[in-house]
Amino acid sequence: MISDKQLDDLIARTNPILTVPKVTADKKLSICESILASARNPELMPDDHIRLHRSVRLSVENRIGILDIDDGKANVLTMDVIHAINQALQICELDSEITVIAIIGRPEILSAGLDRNLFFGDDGRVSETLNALGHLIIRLYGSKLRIVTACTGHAIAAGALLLLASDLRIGKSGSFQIGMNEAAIGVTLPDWALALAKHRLTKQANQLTLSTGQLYQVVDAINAGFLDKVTNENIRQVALDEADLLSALDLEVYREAALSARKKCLAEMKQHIALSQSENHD
Amino acid sequence: MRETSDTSNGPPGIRESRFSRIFEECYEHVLAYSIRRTNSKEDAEDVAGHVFELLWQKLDSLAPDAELLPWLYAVARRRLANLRRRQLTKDLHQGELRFRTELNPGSHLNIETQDEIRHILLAMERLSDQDRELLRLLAWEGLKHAQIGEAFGISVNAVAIRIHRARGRLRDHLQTEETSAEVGND
Repeated sequence: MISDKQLDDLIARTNPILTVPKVTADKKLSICESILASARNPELMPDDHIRLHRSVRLSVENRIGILDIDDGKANVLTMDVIHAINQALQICELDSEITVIAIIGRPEILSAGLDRNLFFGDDGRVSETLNALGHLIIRLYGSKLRIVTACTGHAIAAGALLLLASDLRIGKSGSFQIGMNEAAIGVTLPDWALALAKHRLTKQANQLTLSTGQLYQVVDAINAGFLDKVTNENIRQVALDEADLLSALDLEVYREAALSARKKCLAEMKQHIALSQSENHD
Repeated sequence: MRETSDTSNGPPGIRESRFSRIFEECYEHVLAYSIRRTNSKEDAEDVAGHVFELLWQKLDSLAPDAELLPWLYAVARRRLANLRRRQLTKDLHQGELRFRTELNPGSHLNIETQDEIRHILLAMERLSDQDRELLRLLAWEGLKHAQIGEAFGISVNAVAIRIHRARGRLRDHLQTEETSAEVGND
């Protein structure tokens, strides 16, 4: 067997540069001065995150992929936003350092769902957007990584679906509304969303959602199955603390237990989307 | 690398001189650390610049006798991970995923030695980022266990255990590489 010393020597031989590069005193001084100049002015400081869309940014701290969604308004899930969230998930899943994803809304709103005007326009665009949303929700619910979502305020319609597809949902206490109000505004929920609601909501909440489009206050949203916890503290910090705790847990156990429990539901959701896509092509 | 005198948390002039001294002592080490992991001088300079900008921000919270080089390496490591993610984002935008293979550092060596290095590189690539970084901090940067603990925010004991396990996994991967090379040669 190769000894520790031999192993270290082998690794040392893969070192692309053996000596520390020499930087001239003049160059060092100029680099130091320019760093000090920008460091003294925080506005010039580089922000260490990846912007995937003007309202979606990804940063990574302590093995947690932090996905901030903030469009400055209602956090409407447009096609571009759905695409950006999808990309963020893909990046996190490809990164072996990341074990938990935290989705964080903007103050007072996680998301108001899809753009309501969409439903008064072209049918083709409606089903295209709903299918894209369906793929995103399936990706979240079937993710190899644990998902923590900070429901920073209201979460309506597709916003509530983000909650249903997350592992741990933390709500901000306050007078916020959470739920799927499609029945109340005359919009039909797609079949894949019905399958998820049936899997995650209590029987009573599911019935109310389907027949009346009931919205819940934060505390009642726990009983209905939209949230797991409520906090009146800094919700971003609470969510990151929870994510930090989850990051220490075994991912394989999660994949085997949680994902296997969702297998049937995920298969059903995928089937509904495939059917909807084939209907659109006909 | 510890600071040599206590000039922390003082007036701006003293703060600046503390920063300049750390910069003078550590900049080249951080640059080397970054070049080793990016194979790009421009990216490495960007990483090193970011590290020292953050140092300026955090200077007052760092104890005067703090071991600074592991802290600086830890910041560089996070920045490098974000550079990789940015590259991944660009690749995703272009609709393609390119998996980066490490530049062969032994191109000036004879073929036998190059093969040996290729084996170890392939085996290293199969380790998790954390395992790979632990072993590199030891073998490339020459850090002691206590310094690696500082860089990862874990105890010396935990470092020893993780290094032991990482070496075990590397041995397994090397074994697999050798076996597949032998099969390939048959």
